[in-house]
Amino acid sequence: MTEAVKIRGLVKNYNGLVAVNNLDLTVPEGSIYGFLGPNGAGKTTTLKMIAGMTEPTSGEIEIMGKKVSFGSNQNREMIGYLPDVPGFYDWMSPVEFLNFSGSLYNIEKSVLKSRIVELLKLVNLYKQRSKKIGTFSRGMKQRLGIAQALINDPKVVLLDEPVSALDPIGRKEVMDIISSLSAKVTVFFSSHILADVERICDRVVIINEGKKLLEDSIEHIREVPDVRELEIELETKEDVLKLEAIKDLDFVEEVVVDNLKVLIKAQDIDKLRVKLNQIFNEENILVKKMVVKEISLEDIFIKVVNNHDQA
Amino acid sequence: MIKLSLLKKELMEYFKTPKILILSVLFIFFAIASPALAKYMNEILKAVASDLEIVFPDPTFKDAWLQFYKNMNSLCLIVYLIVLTGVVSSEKSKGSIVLVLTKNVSRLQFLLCKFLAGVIVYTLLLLVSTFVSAYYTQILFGVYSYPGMIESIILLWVLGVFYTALGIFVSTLAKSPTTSALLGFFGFALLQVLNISENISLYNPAGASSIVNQILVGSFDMSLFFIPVLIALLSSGVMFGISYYIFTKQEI
Repeated sequence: MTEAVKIRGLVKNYNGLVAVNNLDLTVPEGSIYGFLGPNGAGKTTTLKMIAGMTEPTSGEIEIMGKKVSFGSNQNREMIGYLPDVPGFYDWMSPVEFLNFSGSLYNIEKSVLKSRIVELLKLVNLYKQRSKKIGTFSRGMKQRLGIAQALINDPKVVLLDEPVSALDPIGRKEVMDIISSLSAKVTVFFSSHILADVERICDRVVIINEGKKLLEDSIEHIREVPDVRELEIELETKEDVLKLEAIKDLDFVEEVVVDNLKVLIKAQDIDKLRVKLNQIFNEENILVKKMVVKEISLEDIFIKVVNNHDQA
Repeated sequence: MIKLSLLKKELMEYFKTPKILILSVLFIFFAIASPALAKYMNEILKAVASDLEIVFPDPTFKDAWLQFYKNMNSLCLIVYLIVLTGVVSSEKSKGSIVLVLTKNVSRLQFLLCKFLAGVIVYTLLLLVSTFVSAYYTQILFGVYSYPGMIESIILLWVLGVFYTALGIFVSTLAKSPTTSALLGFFGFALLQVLNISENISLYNPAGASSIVNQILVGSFDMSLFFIPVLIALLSSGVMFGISYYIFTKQEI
């Protein structure tokens, strides 16, 4: 697995205020990587350091194996960057802006021309290609921002909160565009909208107060045993009472009863399921419904951030 | 070193925004108005103060140039400087600077293109306004040229180059266009105060505004012409260098 972005011991200290605290991170090439954290967690600062716009206090950043230096334009060919609030030249049209952006790289004119058309179609702005950017909505500007970040056919695209200020339709449009980039380019994007991240990301990292709290694939995170739950619905109150005894088992953390429904939190959900089947048979309990509750990223996020705050 | 596409964009920005309209209207208006005001000032004053018996000397073509230099130094250059003070700070405040600097553009290229675009625009404005003023002076007075006229225009040009560097400097320093405009205005006022003394004006980077008048009345030793030119150009270079140094340390 090639590393698109590698961060080691990254620290950013603003006159005593630690925005990023000894952050280690590895973004695999070709992945869509979600960078999660509450507001003020250090996401924007980290992305700006990766883009070379902010100077790290200490630590190292590599993009495709090449070291990032603050203020240098050495790795510019490899990255595309979209800030949280992109600022455009309002007097330009999307075609003019993309042409200008592309002309800053060594791209052949004919290649650039066809890439502009391709990107405008990708971000659904082809019809508005000649309109002044000053007349664009926030969502249109955000989509144009993605197009300009892709103009140089980069290896890594850094997107800072690309959907945070958009309405639900605008959010969906932008997330669909990001999703369509899967496998073509490495996308490293920050967000605090968990449903979006969950839908399109391969891997996520959660940070708070500049520290990494969790980093894994979405698949693995959902399998974290201590956050899985089992919801059971039974036929009678008597059966519910019979089942309450399960709370004495050592791997069961909590049993919550709500009328005919029983919610069980356990360290090992699979062991619990085997044990429950045994109890159902022995006690002749009639089960109406049994569901391994899907854990959302939001549940994990809240749990991880809360644990960190309590620590 | 120079990114032509970036320079082209900088120049386009002057023409696609009201900047060039404001500057060209101002420069050309005073290019036309200066000889006309010099020619008819006596009549205007007599009409305004008809009850007073005032005797004025007959205006000459030199009065036209005196008016032109005065207007260039006091109005045209300050407006040009104010426009220049926004070239970096406005990009910082609206965020467009990030979209450019995260591409294949060095910070030196970014500043250099802004500086060059300013110098090109100022050179065009100066040439056109000088030509227009000379034309109207010829029409109204029958003569326009005097010894040292070319040198005076060169001095006005280096003065513009210096104010371009000053504009870039305060624009790099400030985070918002308002702050940079205030800093620019303060710098302009300070340099004008230094021009009160003729001895200091020779070594003042903005001393050209005073020296052109001395050349016009024939009181300037032309063998010293290279001093204000060199000082203005060197100061521009130093100011640009400091701007670049500050810019490389700034986190965007």
